This record gives sequence, C-alpha cells and structure tokens, in this order.
Amino acid sequence: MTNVLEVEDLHVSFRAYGGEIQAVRGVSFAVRPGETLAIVGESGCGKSVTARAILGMVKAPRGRVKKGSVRLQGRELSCLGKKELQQVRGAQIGMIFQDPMTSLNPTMKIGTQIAEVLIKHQKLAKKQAREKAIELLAAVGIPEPARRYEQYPHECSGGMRQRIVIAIALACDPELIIADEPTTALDVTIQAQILALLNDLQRTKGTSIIMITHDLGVVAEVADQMAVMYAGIIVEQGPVEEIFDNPQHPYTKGLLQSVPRLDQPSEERLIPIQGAPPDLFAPPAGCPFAARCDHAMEVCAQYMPKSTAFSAQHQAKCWLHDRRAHRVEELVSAGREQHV
Amino acid sequence: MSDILVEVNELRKYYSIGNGRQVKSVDDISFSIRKGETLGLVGESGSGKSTLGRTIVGLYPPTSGSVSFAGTDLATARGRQKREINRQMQLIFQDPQSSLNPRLRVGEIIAEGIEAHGLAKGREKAERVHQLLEKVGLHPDHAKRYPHEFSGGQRQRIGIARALAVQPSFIVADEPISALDVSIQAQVVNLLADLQAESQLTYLFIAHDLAMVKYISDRIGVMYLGRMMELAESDDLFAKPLHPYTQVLLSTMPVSHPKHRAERERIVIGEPPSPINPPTGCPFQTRCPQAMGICKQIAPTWREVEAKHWVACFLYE
Repeated sequence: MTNVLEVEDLHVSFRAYGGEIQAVRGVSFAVRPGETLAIVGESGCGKSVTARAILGMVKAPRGRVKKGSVRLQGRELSCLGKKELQQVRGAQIGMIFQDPMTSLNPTMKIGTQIAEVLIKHQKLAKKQAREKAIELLAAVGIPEPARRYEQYPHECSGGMRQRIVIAIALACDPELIIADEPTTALDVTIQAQILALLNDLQRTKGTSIIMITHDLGVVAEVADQMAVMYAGIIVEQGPVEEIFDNPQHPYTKGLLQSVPRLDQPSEERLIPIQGAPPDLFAPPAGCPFAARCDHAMEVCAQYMPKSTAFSAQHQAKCWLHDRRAHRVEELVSAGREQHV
Repeated sequence: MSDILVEVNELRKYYSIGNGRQVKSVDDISFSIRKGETLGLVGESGSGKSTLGRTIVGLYPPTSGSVSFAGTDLATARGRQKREINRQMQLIFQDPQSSLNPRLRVGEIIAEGIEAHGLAKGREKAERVHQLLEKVGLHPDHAKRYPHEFSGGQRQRIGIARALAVQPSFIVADEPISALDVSIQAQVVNLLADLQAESQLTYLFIAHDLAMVKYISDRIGVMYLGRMMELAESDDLFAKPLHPYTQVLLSTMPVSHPKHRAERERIVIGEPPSPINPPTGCPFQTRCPQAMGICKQIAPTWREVEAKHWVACFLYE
C-alpha cells in the first residue's frame, strides 16, 4: 500500500533578531495508512514546526520552508497555493492542537463551528450539516449532543473542548490527523479518555495519525511508529516496541532512562541527560547531541553521522554505529558504569 | 521528642466568589508529615493541592483548622518565633519564569532571604550565595546575571538555591518539574534528593505525574475537590489502592512500555464536577463506579483503615 504522507529532507528556518533559527534541518519520514506515528522531542526540537510545515502553516515573512518535499498520497503539497492548501487542510488533513481553550472560536456556537467545516468542504446544506455535526458530537462521546450544539466553548470543560476539536478534525473523514500535544493541557483521567477516543476512531475509520508529544507515556500508549527529534533532526525512528526495547541512539536511551518506571525502586537514581540542548542559531556542525553525550567521540562534534538501519524500519543517526567505530558495546557499558 | 514536623488538623481554606457562594479549595484535611520524609501530593487540577501547600507554609491564612510546625501552632506564633518558623518553611514554585524577579540579579534574589533573616552580611553573604549556587549545580559567576539569561532548568535551580538560602528544614515543592523538559526533570529530581540526604530536609512534593511522585515520595496523599481521599506509604498505595478514585487515577496512567497496552484495564469515568458546585456527600460520588446510596448524603470520615493507610470512603466503614 502507498504511504499516506511522505516528508523528505524538510528544512524550515525562522528569521529572528539574532539571525536565522534553523528549526528543522532535514527531516524525512513516512506515514502508512491506519498507522500512528509519534514525533517525540523536547521543547524547541522542531516537532511542532514540522507539523506546521506539513500543513503549509509556516508563515512568511519570518518563517520559510527552505527545502524539502511533502507529499500527501503522492500529491506534492509544498508547491500549492493558499486556496488549494485550505482545501487540503480540514478536508484531507485534520488538525488537533494542544490548547483546546484557544483553538475554538469563543464567539461561535460549538455546533456552528463543526457545521462550518462540513458546509465548506463537503458542500452540505445547512440542515444536513447540522445533523452530521450532531452525529459527530455523539461519535466523540459528548452526551446530549443536540443541546451541546447550541452551546458556546466557555460552557464546556477542557476535556469536552478537546473532544469538540477532535470532532471538527474528523468532520470530513480526513486521511491524516495531525495532533500536536493533544492531551498536554488535560488532567490524567481526561488524557486517558482522549487517547482512548483517538485509538477507537482510528480503528473504526482507518485514519492515520501524527502525534506530536514530549511524553513517552503517550507514545507507549498510542503509537505504532516513533521518530525522536533533537535540535531539528530526527535522530532515531522506527517501530515503537523496537525502540523501547532496543534504543540505538544515546539520546533516545537517555530519554527512556530519565523517566522513572513504576517498578523502579526509589534507591535507584534516575539517570538524567546532563547539559541542555544546543542553540539553533548556530547549530553544531556534527551531531547536535555530541556535547551532552556520554559516548561522544572526536568525529561526533565535526561531522553529522549518517543513518544506520537496524531493521526494515528502524534507523538511527549515530557515529557509534559506524563500522569504523569499534567496541560500541564496551563504550556503552563503560558509560553506564560511570552513572552507577 | 516526636518525629512529627508538620501537623495539619482539620484545615479548611474557603474562597468567597460572590453571592454568598464559596469554593472549598481545602476542606477538612488532617495529616502529619514526619521529619525527613517526602510526602507526595497528587490530584487533578483544581483539587486544591497547591492551595493546601501554600496554606501550610502560611502564605494563605486558613479559614479554620490549624497547622503546627515542630509543635508550635502557626496561628499563635508571634514575633521572633513566627520569623523562625517562616525561615524554616520554604516554597519552590512551578513556573521558573514568573517566580524570579526579572529585575534582580541572581545573587540578589538568593541573598534576599539571607538579609531578611539577618543570617549574614557583606563578604560572608556573598560567600554564601556562591556556595549555594555551587550546591545547586550552577557557577558562582552566575550571581551577576539576570534570570532571563538562564534556561528553564537553570532557573528552577536558582529557585531551589533561594529556598535553601535561609537553611530551612521543610520545603513545599509545588510542581517543581512540571514546566521542565523530560531530560532536565531527572536532573532537578536528583538534585532535590541529594539536598535532602545532605541536610535532612522534609519535603511536601506536589505533582501530577504519578510515576515521578511514586519515585520521589515515601508516602502519597491523593486529593480530590479539596478533600484528601487517601494517604498511604507509596508502595502500599500503588500495590493496594483502596479508594475508588485512587484506583481510577492509577488505571489512567500511561503504560511504561508499548507491550503492556493490551494488559491494562482502564476504569472510565465522566467529567469532574465544578468546584463551585460540588456534589453533596462524598465529592467523588458522581463519578464513582462503586457509589452507594449513603455516598450521596454524607461525606465519609477520614480514618486509618489499615496500619498507616488512611482513606475517606464508605466502602471501608
């Protein structure tokens, strides 16, 4: 089957006072039908910018997609005009943003906001749009959908609002949903409900999802594939289970080790990643993680490592996997001992 | 000498919101914190955990009830005694951006408490500031810089140094790592653990990340709509949660590894009620899968149903 979305060598920069921020520096990935890809990374790693670039939402004059291609079902999006892009957004790609407080229009009825999408993209008549909108509200688990249709966003709780945003994203049966930290602003009990809802909808409709998150728990919960971003680069990507079991990039390892597991005894220390991410005004020439990496070699600071494949889908960019770098295991175990 | 440092007794903190209505942010809470322990406090937003923490250190005056520190009632302490208690109890805030005065240099921020309590002057004061900066993993030269020159994790370290400056024995850490990136969280948690071991600090650690709270805390209290629902030793609480709300909370935790996805059993509950108009009886009754008739009428009492395991629920009465 063909991929729903293919992103190739995407570069995005922003102009700022200090110069140019290279937010995304050559990102490539693909999303298959019915699959959830999680893009994981810390603040400033470029994960949200990647999502915005896919949607054609990097705003000139400050921001610019410098290079790269984004193909939705084989159709190149990066050369589309404003009108055509608007048709893609909403109809073919649904969007869910982090903050359900600000992504709804506070002056419009909830129902009207959903119906608007249906009228615009599916050319439904007002009455049909209303019926479909109420159906959608019911589908995302909102009780008394007909009454809610007439209400305004401020009358709903945060979890309810996020359900409404999901209903809007789903309105036109898009092939792909991009969810940017959809549960970060919500409480854990509500987070679990929203993630379960997304899982259910995906199973019944076969929609592909790109889930952008900083939370490895969310990744473990919903994703099939994951891509780990650091300083504008995907340092490792592959099937979720494979990466959780066998991370190949020191940064991925560090992330997995720095969150406590439930079965972790309190006597055991957490292993933090020392230092802080690099400045993207002048990103390092080599591996961006080299300065914080326990296993960094001389080459790491100077040249960007190439991708090494570990299985059909699992790959990481790290010099440790270069065939000239011997004794990877020894280096790793020596590094581990330092912490204990 | 008893080993109890902080004793909270039937503490209430109500806010008036006009028309004679009140929000009961903290409602009839009693518990104690032992010397040298870390008590974790979890709950959803609006459950009153931050208000509880701030009322305990005396930042907010309680509506009723009492807090005593090392045997002294906060409400009756005056003069020198009051100052001494204020010195002993310190806060670390969630947001490292807004909790530091942007117009003061880091050295001045840290020295404020030292001056206010007359702990050191002149060269000795500067010396202390430098030591504190080193203690929290920063450089003494950083004293000359302003808060905006630091990253979130570094600012949180400054906040910790400020709290430590007056040599407290009890620290309320209100979501100290929630605003930080994953890789930085572990740095700050390890720092807090080291400082505790070094200076026999007692912590009240407020957070919503259950795995982190379990890792850090000796005991954990679970709050819901202003009330304490359950309080137990950490391992005990996770192994054997008694209150239906705690069971729900634990069941909603994200799995730690994708392979556990199939095994998990989620308890699904509805939306939380508004704190302005809370349910009668037990506050959790509207969402509780095991609610009974009595739960709607009166609130359950706070009791120790097993050794060191407190719960407020009619299932155990």
